Amino acid sequence: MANLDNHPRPTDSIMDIETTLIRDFGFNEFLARKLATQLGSESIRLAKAEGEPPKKSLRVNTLKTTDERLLSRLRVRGFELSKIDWVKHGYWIESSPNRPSAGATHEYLFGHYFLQSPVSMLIAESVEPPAGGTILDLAAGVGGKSTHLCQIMMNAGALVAVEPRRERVSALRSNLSRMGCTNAVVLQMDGRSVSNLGIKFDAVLLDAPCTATGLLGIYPRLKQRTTEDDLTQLQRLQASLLERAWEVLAPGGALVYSTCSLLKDEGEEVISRAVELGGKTETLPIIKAGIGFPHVPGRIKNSVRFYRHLHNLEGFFVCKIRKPIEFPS
Amino acid sequence: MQDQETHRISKLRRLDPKERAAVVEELARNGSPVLPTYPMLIHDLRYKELLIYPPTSSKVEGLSVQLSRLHNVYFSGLYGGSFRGQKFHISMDFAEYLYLGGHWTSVLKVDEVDERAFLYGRDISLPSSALEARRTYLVLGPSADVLGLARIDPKRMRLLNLIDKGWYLRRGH
Repeated sequence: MANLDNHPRPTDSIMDIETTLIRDFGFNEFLARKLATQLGSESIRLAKAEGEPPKKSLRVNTLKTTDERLLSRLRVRGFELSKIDWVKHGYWIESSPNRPSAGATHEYLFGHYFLQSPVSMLIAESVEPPAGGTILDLAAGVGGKSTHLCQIMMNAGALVAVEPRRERVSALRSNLSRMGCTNAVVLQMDGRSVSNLGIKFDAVLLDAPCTATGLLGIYPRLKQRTTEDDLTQLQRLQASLLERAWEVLAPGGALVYSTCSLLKDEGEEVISRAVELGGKTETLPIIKAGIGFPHVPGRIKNSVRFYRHLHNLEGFFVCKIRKPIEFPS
Repeated sequence: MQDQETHRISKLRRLDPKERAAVVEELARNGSPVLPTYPMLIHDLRYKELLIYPPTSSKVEGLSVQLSRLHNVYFSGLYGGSFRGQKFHISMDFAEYLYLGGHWTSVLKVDEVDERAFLYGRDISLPSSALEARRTYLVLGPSADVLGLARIDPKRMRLLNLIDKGWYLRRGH
């Protein structure tokens, strides 16, 4: 266990912080330097908070059931849930029985819920797909946000879910099926080729591939494994995907960009390129009127950041941008 | 990282008359005599898949056809089933969809013990002798949850598990 008494105080140098991150928390030099430079002594608090996996949460799938029905069924199985008031169908799993686990109940198999972090739920909600619209999920992964978008769209309109990796596409299909989603088209392709589709989308979600440094509590090995090369390659991929996403977004449409990374290289730096690309591009608040949620403002107007040590949430960066209506094609 | 892009393109197409007849036959055998009016497409892979587009998702059909001309549409709409030779085998998703719409009558309910066994992929004892061997049954749990599809083995007096929702867990996702 780390002894916090020896940890640097806010006035200590970046080098001291870096040393502490390496010595007491097992970070490699590269990531320790990145976090120490970006967050200062906050990075020590963050590293301490990431010592344990985050609290689990689930999203009720209203395509299959209702909040009340699911809550009542899971209560019988020994689960205790509490509402997350800033996402629509999100619940914390306060306690659960030894068996079945939350990922193995009958209700899970029936598609009544999806195990998902509240920030991921918020990101999908932030897309606010227009009724009957055509929406793009450019890095769909296994479909956590895709299935949520289908739910929000009530299976109307169309969701195009793009994912290049075979094993993930297979899991994506399985999740769409389990969750009762019928309005999705799954394309196995590199998202950087999306402009070849010849379609303009009313809204785009780009939850970009990233270093996943916001998930160190779940994947502690990333503290050792994340390298400068990884970051450089991923940043290039993120920028490229963002440019393509921007191209296929219809004028007047909105793009939500997110990463589960703590590093501004994968958040603010990437998004600032899109803001430059767009001329009169406007960033939009991702908070719906009257619904507040724990976050800190990002360095780009209206963008938000989530930190484990401040919010007890996975680390994320989220920004929403609207494409001007008079955008030259 | 983005990798392993598959370039195999399979266009989606409408059903030919034989395929349509095979679907009608399977539905009729299971108490769903009318072919649904919503669109259906065939996905030609190593085998043939049927994809269904329910009324709320009708926009997806046109988009899928358009995209499949040049791109690898891995999946779209609702999985309807597959063809083996000329015979059509309905999927659990399609049977459930028809059942919820009141168009699938081959249904049987099992108790809690059999529900658990069935969701583990096991065959179970016949809950009733008044079942027809030629039908495909949608198996429901005690709370009327859809558990999967089954056929009758009249010799062993067993309900044969064709597919069940435990598959979602067993396949590792």
